[in-house]
Amino acid sequence: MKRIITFLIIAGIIVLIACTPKYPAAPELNIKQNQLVLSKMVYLGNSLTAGLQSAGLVKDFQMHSYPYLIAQQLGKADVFEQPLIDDPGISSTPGVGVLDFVNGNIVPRGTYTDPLALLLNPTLSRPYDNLGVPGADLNDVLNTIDGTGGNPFFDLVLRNPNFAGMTQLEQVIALLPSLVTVWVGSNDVLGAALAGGDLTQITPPGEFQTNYATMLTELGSIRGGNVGIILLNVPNVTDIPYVNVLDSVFRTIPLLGINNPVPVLFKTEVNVLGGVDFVPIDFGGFYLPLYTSEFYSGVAHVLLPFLSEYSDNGLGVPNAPIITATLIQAGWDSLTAAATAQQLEAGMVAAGLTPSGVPVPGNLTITAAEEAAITGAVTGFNQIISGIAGTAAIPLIDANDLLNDLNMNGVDGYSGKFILTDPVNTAFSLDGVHPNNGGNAIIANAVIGLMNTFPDIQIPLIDTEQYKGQYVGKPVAKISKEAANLVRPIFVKKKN
Amino acid sequence: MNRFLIAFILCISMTGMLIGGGFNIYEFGARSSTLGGAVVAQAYDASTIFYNPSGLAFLPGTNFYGGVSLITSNSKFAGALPTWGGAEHETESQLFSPIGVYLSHHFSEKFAAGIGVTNPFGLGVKWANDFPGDYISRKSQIVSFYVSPVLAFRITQELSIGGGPDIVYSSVDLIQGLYPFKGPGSTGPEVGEATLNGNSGIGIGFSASVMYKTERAAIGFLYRHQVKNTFDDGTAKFTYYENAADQNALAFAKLNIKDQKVSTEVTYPNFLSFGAYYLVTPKFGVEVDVMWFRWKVVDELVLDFETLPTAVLPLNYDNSWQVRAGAHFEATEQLSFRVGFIYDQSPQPIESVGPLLPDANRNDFTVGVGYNFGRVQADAGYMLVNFLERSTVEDGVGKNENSFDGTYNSDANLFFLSIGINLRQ
Repeated sequence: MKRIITFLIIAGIIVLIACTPKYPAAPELNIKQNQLVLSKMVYLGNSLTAGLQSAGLVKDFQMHSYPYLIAQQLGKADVFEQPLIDDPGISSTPGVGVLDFVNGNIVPRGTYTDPLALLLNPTLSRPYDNLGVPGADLNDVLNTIDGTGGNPFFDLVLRNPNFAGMTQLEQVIALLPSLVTVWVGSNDVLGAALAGGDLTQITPPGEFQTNYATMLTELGSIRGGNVGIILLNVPNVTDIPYVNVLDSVFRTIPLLGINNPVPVLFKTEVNVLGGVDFVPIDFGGFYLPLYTSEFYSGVAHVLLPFLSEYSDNGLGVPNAPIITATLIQAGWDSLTAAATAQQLEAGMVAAGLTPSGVPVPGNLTITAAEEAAITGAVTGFNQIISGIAGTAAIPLIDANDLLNDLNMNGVDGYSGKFILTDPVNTAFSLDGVHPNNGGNAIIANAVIGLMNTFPDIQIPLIDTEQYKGQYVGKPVAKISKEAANLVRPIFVKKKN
Repeated sequence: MNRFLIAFILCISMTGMLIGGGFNIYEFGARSSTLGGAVVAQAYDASTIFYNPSGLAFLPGTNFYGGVSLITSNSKFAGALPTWGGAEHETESQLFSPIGVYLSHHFSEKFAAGIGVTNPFGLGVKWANDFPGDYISRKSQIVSFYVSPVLAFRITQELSIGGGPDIVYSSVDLIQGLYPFKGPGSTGPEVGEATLNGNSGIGIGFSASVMYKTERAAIGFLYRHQVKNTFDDGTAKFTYYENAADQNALAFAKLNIKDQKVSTEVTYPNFLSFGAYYLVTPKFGVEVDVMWFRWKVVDELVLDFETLPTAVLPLNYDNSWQVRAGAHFEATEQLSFRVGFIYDQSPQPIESVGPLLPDANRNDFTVGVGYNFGRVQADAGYMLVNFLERSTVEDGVGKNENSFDGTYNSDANLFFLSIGINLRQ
């Protein structure tokens, strides 16, 4: 009996051990190892990443941010989280929403009282996948945690103190992404251009280099280094409509002894693109220079907000005494100069101008020297970025070259002109700084194009044509004053 | 070598024993269980209080019947390639011991009553701490207690009806890794552990049954109504790993995820059973039952936290069938042998197959023995539950709703021991 019981016990144990299930074979998904890099994509940047258009952030613009467009191409738009903002959107002018194009005019969409109340998905319990904060410069990416510095977008995107004081960079890392696309640096120089050449707003290159390297070191440690990174460099911030919209009104005036091109009085003429061209006015054989406070410094660009002041108040339109002085300085005798000035003033009035005699202030113009400094800063930053990217073998997209190509040749039929000039094909939004829907699609395609150089990755490119005609309607005759005022302060910040 | 060969043969021959699909348990008496649970048309002992209360009308005297089922189960997981790298993980061994305890009394020729305590619904799945799917579940355990007082009435010599209320209490225990930033494509960093416990209030259901019994043949029918157990006063407790790799995520968790109350509810499905028994020879009888479970009532698990956002775990179970067959052979007046087989259809859709419960269709095989000492009856037996291998990957597409794709292979072993005492003839 004992032997039988012993046998039964042993047999029972063996049964249990032997009946333990085998490990099944691992099933295979229709995904290749190299494609895992696309499993969790997070974007770090500024307004260009956030999808800011037309001076502000609002959900219909955010749904065309370049990261969102890429998520759409991957079929993941429904799980791609952004800090969506309800109408009327938020610009950095407190209480005022984004710009819209209504009946041929550029006007604010509306007003609001509490920016935080406009956040549509504030309770998402993880950081957003789009961690672009409008206005953020490189230092902000590493250090800023909220909007106490005056930029409400940090509060909206980072949601501190609820996120324990995490910065943009820290929130990216905490998502454990498989691929991080980084586009920072524009705001380390853009403010200088938009403030009319305030060079104090340019980040010192040494600081930029240190911060950029620190950022990449921290990003590179995600998933033990098993993370993909894509970089975009800094587009030349003097190559945007906000800066170059009036580059067509520069002329030499030999009769006045002006042999370098200077901005001259101009009018608008309807062009073949359905917009208007800014055309210098010929006053009986010569042009009259705009009256600028930086005239003798060699003005290189007149900024977009000047337009409304020019047409509304005659800013920069000289009056007879000023013209007289100019002619005398050019060698005319005083009587002829005074008589001619009177005739010219009458001509200006006949052309619909207001001879105010008020000069264009320096913050609405960029001199050649200022432009050289700004362009030099962009070049310097891009050398730093390409140097670090090259050393770390991180793929880099030349956004600066893309912008240049847009301006020189156009991309997919899009132009780099402002809406007033090219309302159908422009790739820029109403603020003249940020890309519109089509512009974002072009950027997204550049990023997708790079991703498609990765092994086993083949993401369909976006048909950019579908975003043409965003501003369908009558061509605008002028930018409204309130709109112009909205555009500028957003990106010009006071350096601490 | 020989011993392994024996074991192999036993494995094959025993393939298939029981715990039912989804998280149903149906083994509450060693005799009934070793007949594959195909007993809805039999009234052999007081466990008929659970299987078919109307059978009490055919069970003379005063009877006690009670026992335990010892359950061990094991699930092995192979993660999908390339997402989970083919990683192999298995559940930790646990022992579960659902009981079936009954007392019955025959008051007259027509009238009998009884009471039973059983645990018809429950589950227990526990993975190791390094299990990558612990962002979904590290441990899940549900235990239900059904207290079922029943009455049986013999309408004619052959026909009886019976039934009574089910008074139901449950406890739930869930443990999950704490990944505060998990989302599609990334779990985010792990910073701790979440433990949810709850004891339910009392839920009420009922059973109703019929049995028609002749000298050699019988048919039976049972309906058991669904029961909802509500957990109003559960606790969610969070522990944090101070050495978490991402200290920022840890700080976020400490700031936002704090111990609190949690409430939820669980509905146990209604089911019905229909079967026919035939005594082929005086020593040999067989029964076949068909069961149907309305698992559609289990559509989601909603965890309603005091301050945290409500968490919804979609389950979306489908209704399911079971076919049960059993046979007994009375070798002597004292000694009886039993075998059984069950085909058990899983109610779990592929999307919710996961660490919380990796269910699959099952084939169950049972063997058992009984010995009658006179007024005392002893029954024992064994069941092998053989889950069919189940993958969340179909045609190369991952279907798990939390993207935790892979293949599971599970089985369970059940040992039964019950004692019956005829307290009064």
